Amino acid sequence: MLFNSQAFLFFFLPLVLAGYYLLVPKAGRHAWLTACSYAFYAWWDWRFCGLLLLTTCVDYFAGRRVAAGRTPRRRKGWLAFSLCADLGVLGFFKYYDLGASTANALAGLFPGTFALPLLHLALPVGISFYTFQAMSYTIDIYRGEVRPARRFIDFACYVSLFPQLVAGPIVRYRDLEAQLVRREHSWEKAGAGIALFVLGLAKKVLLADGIAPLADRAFGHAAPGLAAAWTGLLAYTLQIYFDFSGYSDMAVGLGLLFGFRFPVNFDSPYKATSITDFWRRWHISLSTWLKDYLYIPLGGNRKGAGRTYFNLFATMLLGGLWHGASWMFAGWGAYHGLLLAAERMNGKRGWLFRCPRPVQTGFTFLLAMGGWLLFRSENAGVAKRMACGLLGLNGWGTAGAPVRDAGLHAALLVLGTVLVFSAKNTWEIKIRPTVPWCAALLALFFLSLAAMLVNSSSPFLYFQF
Amino acid sequence: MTKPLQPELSTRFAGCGGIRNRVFCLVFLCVWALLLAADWGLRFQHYRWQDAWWIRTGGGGNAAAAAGGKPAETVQAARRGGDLSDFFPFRFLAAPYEEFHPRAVFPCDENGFPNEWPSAARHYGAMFAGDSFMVSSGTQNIAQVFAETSGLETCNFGRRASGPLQQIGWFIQTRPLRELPPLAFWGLTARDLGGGLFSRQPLDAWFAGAREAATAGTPTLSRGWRIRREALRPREVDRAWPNTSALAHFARHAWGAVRMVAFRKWPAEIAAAEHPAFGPMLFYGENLRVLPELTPEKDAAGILRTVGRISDWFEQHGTALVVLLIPEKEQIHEDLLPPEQRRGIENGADALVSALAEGLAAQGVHTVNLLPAFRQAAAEGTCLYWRDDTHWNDAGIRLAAREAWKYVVEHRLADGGSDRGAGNGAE
Repeated sequence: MLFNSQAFLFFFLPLVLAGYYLLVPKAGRHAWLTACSYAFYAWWDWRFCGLLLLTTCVDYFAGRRVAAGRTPRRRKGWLAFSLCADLGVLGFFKYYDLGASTANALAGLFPGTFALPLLHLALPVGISFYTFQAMSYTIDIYRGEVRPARRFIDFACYVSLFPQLVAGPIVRYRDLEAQLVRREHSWEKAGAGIALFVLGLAKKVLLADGIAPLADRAFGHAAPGLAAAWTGLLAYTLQIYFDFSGYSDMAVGLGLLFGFRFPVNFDSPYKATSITDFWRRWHISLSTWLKDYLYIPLGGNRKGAGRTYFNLFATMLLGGLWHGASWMFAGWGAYHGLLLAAERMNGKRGWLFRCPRPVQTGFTFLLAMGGWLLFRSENAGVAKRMACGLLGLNGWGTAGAPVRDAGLHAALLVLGTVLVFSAKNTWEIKIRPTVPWCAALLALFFLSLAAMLVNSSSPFLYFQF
Repeated sequence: MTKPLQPELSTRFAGCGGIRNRVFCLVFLCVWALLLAADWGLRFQHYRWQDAWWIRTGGGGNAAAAAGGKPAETVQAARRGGDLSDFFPFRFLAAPYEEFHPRAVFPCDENGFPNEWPSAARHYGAMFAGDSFMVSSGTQNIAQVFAETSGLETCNFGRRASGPLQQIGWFIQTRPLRELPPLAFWGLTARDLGGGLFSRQPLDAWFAGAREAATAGTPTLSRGWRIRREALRPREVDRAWPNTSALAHFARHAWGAVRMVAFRKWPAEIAAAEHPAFGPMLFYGENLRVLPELTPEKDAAGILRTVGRISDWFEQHGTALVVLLIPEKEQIHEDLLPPEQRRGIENGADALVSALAEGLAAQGVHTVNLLPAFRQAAAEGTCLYWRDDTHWNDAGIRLAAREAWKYVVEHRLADGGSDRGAGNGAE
């Protein structure tokens, strides 16, 4: 169930809100949220609820043992147990087939060696997000930065909280620790939550989904021409931003409706003036997680220049793989790792820093687009085709299959481009609970709902059966 | 440390006073509640979602009819325009295509089907099951025309927008008649023949339900309800959601109007052509998309298997099942379509229908392929479909009923009845 689905907006959310505020006593609110979050998760596949529960139990138990451990050795042992369990589950479900197929391909170079079976496991939705959240909990307890959760239901609520369960932001336990004990519910928070949710929905449904067909056409084309390839790559660059940041805004808005405050996840990333700056602004909850729990433990920049470059590269490579079990994601991570290392190597002496700010921003945007080429391509063949198109090796070429309402999509592409370079972040817009703002947000809500319904509906009525 | 949450926005709202925030939230909540109420109300009232969720185990009785103790009837008011011209956002644009659809009055049985009340205890010589083609009409529906043609008392378990399998599944599970008629017709249109649709059907559950009902000794009139759990699975509900939403309907309609005004584009659901003899004619965009996608290689095996099992079940219960392969309007008037679409339909739907007719015959399943007869009649100048609707008109219904009865007579499937109309075009 996605936030931008009828099931969520017209069934699940009203039910959860009604239960939370009207039906359930205050003491039972976390239990209600947890139950609803499991129902939300089960909507994809109920079998994976067991996995979510397992992760919750293991980390709750391990967290208590880490905190209670009398010797550093014992504390470290329980931390290792928790991390092994979390990474084991994540690795098995997400990366087993990738590892096995890669091993088999390598073994194929030496006939008569071995062949690992492929399990074709269904990937539990959101496993990467909740695993990272659960890991941060035990690590922070080990570091003495948080205390273990007092009640199991609080911790279960934190791990499974549906607004951020499947697509982030990655909320660390220390950000919610106090809120799980006591948090304020107010009309102010609810108002801000509604505004953020509506803006996020509009970003996702009107902009991201409106631009998507242009990207799909280019990446699905056998030999995209120069114009089609650049348009498609630009479209994807904008699509992924509006899609992800819109979803994050919705998550944060939903959190506010239940009294929670989540961290900011996007800060106008395409206004960045360098790749380092880009990663301070893009998926902030992930980049800070990687910095705090991977880059710094690896040594950060404290062990010499060479080690720093390696740490940057390794962190980004693993960060790329976190996005999905594909070598294309690893390539995307490695690409960013190399760019970060190169920027670190050049320091402030690079030519880019001497250029005017718009040039820096434009160049960084182009570098980010290069990364999205790898990120969006299902395999190296698609990436190569698109790269040929971008370099003009396919000529101007045809645009591929005609896109329905292409003019509208093109207009949205232009609008999106203007917005990413000139507009404020959603959380910076000066919204107030006034009549004009209320009318504007309602109009945006109607428009988003209409676009969502038009796109999701099939006139083939009885396919419902 | 991650950045704190949205300090600007929360602070700004907090600085505006409790009353304004409260009003802001309440306005939103009220609008949302209204949308919810409208969508859910119409979902059950208009789209009758409940019919997919729960079924009657046995002919329990139409509440209205049972309460009043007298038969109900359905009145189809006279009107201009059909389901295709309804896709036009503006009435005046539809005018050239619209036809006059006469008023028709149908009886309504205890299950809401167009049969005499009560239907459960009657003895029928034939029955029809299927979706909108079975109940669409000019002045009469196909079961009524067949009854006239054959002289057999005929009941109809067709329901609009129910799809090809829901009604036959409902019939098998609930056994709404005390005695099964010796003859059952099951209408399948070319668009119905998507292999995926057939493979999704819970046949085992249908047959198990029928066994349960039989074991309980109350194959009919048991007055129970049973929730169809399979219809409540998230995947099924997600599939049903957008198609049973009044808001989605209005959104589509509004978007159609915007496209027409702003981009000068027709609604995607319809295409138009000028027939030299019949005049301007509308076609269903969804059919133009789906029919070329059908392939014998991909779709036929699953359909043959499913239809075969259903036919076997009827045979075990002493009923001869006759599958009516009903052509779509787009198949009959292929010559009016652009060459690419025409080729697509020939290679898709036409090829699949031929393969199915042969495959079903080879399996021993009684099959009437109406495509050749319809094509011939259309070539001879008979308009068989409403120009503004996807369904057949009176002429189409009469031809189909005649072909069905002709098959029955030729294969000696019915003991009673008359041979009026069989094998000739006269009525």
